[in-house]
Amino acid sequence: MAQESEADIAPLDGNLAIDFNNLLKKPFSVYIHVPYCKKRCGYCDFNTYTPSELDANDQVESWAKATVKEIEFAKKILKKDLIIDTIFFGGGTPSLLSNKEISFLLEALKENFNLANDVEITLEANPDDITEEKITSWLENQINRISIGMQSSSKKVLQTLDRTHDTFNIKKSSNLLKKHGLKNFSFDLIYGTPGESLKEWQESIEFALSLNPTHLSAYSLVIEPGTKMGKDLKTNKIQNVNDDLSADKYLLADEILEQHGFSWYEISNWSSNNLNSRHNLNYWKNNNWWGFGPGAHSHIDGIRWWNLKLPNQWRERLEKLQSPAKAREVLTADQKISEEIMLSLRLKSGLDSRKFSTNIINDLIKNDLIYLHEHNLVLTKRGRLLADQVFVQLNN
Amino acid sequence: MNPDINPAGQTPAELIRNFCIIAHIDHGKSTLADRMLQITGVVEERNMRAQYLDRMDIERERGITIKSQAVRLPWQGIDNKNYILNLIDTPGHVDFTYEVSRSLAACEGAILLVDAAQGIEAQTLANLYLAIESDIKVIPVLNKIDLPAAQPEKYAAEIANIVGCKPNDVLKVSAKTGQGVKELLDLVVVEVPAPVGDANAPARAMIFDSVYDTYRGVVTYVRVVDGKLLPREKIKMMSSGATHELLDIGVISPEPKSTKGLGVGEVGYLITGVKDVRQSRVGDTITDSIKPANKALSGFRDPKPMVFAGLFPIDGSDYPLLRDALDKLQLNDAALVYEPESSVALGFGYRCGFLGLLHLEIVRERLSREFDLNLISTAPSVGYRIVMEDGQEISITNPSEFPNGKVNEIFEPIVKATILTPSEYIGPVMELAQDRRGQMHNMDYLSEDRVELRYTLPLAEIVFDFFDQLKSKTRGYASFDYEPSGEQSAQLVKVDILLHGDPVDAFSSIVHKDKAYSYGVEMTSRLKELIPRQQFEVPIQAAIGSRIIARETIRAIRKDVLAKCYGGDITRKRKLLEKQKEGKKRMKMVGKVEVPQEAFVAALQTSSENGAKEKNK
Repeated sequence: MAQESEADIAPLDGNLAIDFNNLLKKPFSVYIHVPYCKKRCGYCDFNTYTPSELDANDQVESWAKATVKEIEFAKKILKKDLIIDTIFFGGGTPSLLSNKEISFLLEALKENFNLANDVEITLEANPDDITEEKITSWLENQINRISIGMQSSSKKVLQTLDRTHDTFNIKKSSNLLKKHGLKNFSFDLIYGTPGESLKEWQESIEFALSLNPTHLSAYSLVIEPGTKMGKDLKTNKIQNVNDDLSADKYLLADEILEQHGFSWYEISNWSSNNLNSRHNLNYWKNNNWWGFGPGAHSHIDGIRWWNLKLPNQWRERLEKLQSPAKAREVLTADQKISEEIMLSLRLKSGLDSRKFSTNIINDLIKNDLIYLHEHNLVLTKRGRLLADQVFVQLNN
Repeated sequence: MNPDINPAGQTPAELIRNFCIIAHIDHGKSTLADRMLQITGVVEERNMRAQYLDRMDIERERGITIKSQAVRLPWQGIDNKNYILNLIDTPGHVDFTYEVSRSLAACEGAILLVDAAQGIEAQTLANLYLAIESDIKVIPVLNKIDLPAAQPEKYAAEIANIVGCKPNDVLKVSAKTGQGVKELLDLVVVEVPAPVGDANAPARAMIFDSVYDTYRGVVTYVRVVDGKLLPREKIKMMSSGATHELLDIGVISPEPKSTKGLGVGEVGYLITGVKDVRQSRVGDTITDSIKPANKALSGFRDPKPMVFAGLFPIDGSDYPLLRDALDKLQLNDAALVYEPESSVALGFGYRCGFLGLLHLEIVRERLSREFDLNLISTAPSVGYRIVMEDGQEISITNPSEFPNGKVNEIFEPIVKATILTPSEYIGPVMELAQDRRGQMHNMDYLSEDRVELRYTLPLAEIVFDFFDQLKSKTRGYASFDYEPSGEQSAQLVKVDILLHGDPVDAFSSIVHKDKAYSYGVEMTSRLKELIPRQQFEVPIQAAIGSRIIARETIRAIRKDVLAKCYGGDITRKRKLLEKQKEGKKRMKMVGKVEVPQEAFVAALQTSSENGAKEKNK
């Protein structure tokens, strides 16, 4: 990928040339990448592996040990006694983790950092994995937010996406969560799957809402080259995502969600009662976070880096007490401005308008792409669908 | 054999034989010439390289000869006399018909060289007719008789039928192995008449080629008809009256060698120090400036561009480089003309005139290869003569010059075309020619299964993709040649392409009124595929004047937003957006519509690529 060739080489000592006092001024988040799946989904290009793809040295247990090494390494690099605002177990399939592994990791975090009193700990879960036993273990470990990979309620769509669960599992698992008092859960939905009708999408949203989540993410499917669906697209086995239909689906989702008391706070995210994903907001607000695990991305005070993708390469570095980063970039002033526009625009809180010319702003307002809320530029519905074009117009 | 036996300038005319080789590409002309150089001993075995006489890389790669050259070969005839054979190489392509005619005019004989596995091709036939018209002796020869696929009997009969000889009179050679080449040289001595001229008359020499050389300036190749040319003499160009001093005079054998002059019937080179081939034009007569001849040799003609195209640098900052490059090419190419042109879609460039499609391709390729220029060319067009209702006459070479006022009549250039095809494809070929507004004159069976068709066709109809179509309809078997043949009145209209109401100059075209609709439909649908969707709906229309004849609509874009950042990979997303931003910078504005330059390039290439394939013929 181009980003690696353009980026700086990451030093093996992992040192950061920053003013460490800055770290105390912003929330600090932790991302833990669990690179395991029972089976790879047809659309997935994430850094994840099925058991057969890895040898014995890189199964879950050694991954957890190496992650703890990375936690200790982070403590050494960051120097300060940081308070962790949010933790996010992402993947891969974090719901594959056992009670033992989760507590092992959280203990390591507590030993090296402090957890905020109101720490938000999210775990991504596959509906198939949500059992009473798992829920009990999550609760024991202070996990207070579950993000369920529902994707769709349509059997046909789930099949196209290679997902193994069904609506029965989704309903059963969310009922279990509620029964145990884990009410702060979110559904991840995917729209635009080839063959999905507008009606099927509407049914998916309505089904999700019937289970009373606090939060909903709706992502437009992107068929990436190299995935199974990417290959099917190339050989014309499936059709590409229809962007016009996807636009209709987005508008429909927004309308239904608003009717049910949900409100958008980021282009692809809606919540009720302001139960936003604090973790994801930290990304979009350019706060600091350390991503642990193979291929994970980090951002600390204007420096971004990403870890080696292969679990064994990542682990071997840590065993030598070296940084597992593959490459890093120290953001230039221009890049920081680009990111500020790109990230703030995605949020309902918007982008400070005062740095932009009135001509550009008026043009965007006239074209029904943005509106002014106090002194912030906020995307209109049309603008949310054309956010990349708004970005290009603003970032000149 | 000692090359000094007959020193140049002193060779008696009766010992000179001037001849050329008429052949289709790949039928082995260059190989035969190589073999002659070897057998006559002018090139030693160890210095031999394939296609010795073809100078430019492009020529060598494409196996075609763009510029002719003459080489002096000593040869002892069967009568034991020491002869001088001057092999005058002819350009092998349709675009250079005039140069071919001048090369032929410098000869008394021509070898008609035909591939024994393929038979005669249209282009060869056209040049053969030129040779027959100029009354020179034709020696029919079949080449490549060593090939397993050779059918010497069949093609000997075909050639005999065309030339009017007996199949047995067709000599069979293999230029590759050398078989039959000695016999061929002996036959040249016997069959080709010696040149005839008045040694005591004022000097007259015809220029049959003129080449720019970085070190020596223009090298002019001549055939002396009367009198004698001597070094240090003042010579005069009879078309312009310009005089020059002869700095050097000599022969090529096969490297240039100065001589004490050139006499009647001799062929050689002159150097006068001029720096531009247009001062030493093919077909012009050179005479002595002190004792000039009264009358020039007949046949001089100015090269006239027939096909026009705009050449634009893809990177606008290359414009001055393009200008310099064209200036340099023109030093060696009297037929190339150009003037500055600017286009909304393509920026600044040059409108260039060419002899034909191959000439266009060669110039384009030299600009890219020798000058490292990345160019886009508009679809080739032709020149028109337009008579307005008030009687005023306008000549245009660019659709954008088409007048707005009332037009009375439009004249377009036409060509006489020769098509050779296996008889099984006569139907499709006739259909194609008819579709291109062709008028058939005659149809001859060259042999049982090969037919020659003669048509008059509008030039505009063949510059587009005629040859391509012809090849595809005949599985590649047909061959094609044409020569300019004046003009005709035609029902032509200018079709404009409008983007969101604004005309896109690069896509305006002059077409026959019956084809305006299909041109409009094709262009609008092609652009629809190439132009990205905008934030508003964009109509693409084809119009004749104010009348819309075709329309497509690019619907407004509704969704252009990146999906989520996975695990905080902000970098990837920023790079994608920066790429989008860079893309926007390369956009050209046509009115309110942003069009990537690549779209113009692609839209034009689809049409001009067809023309470009012509080069492969």
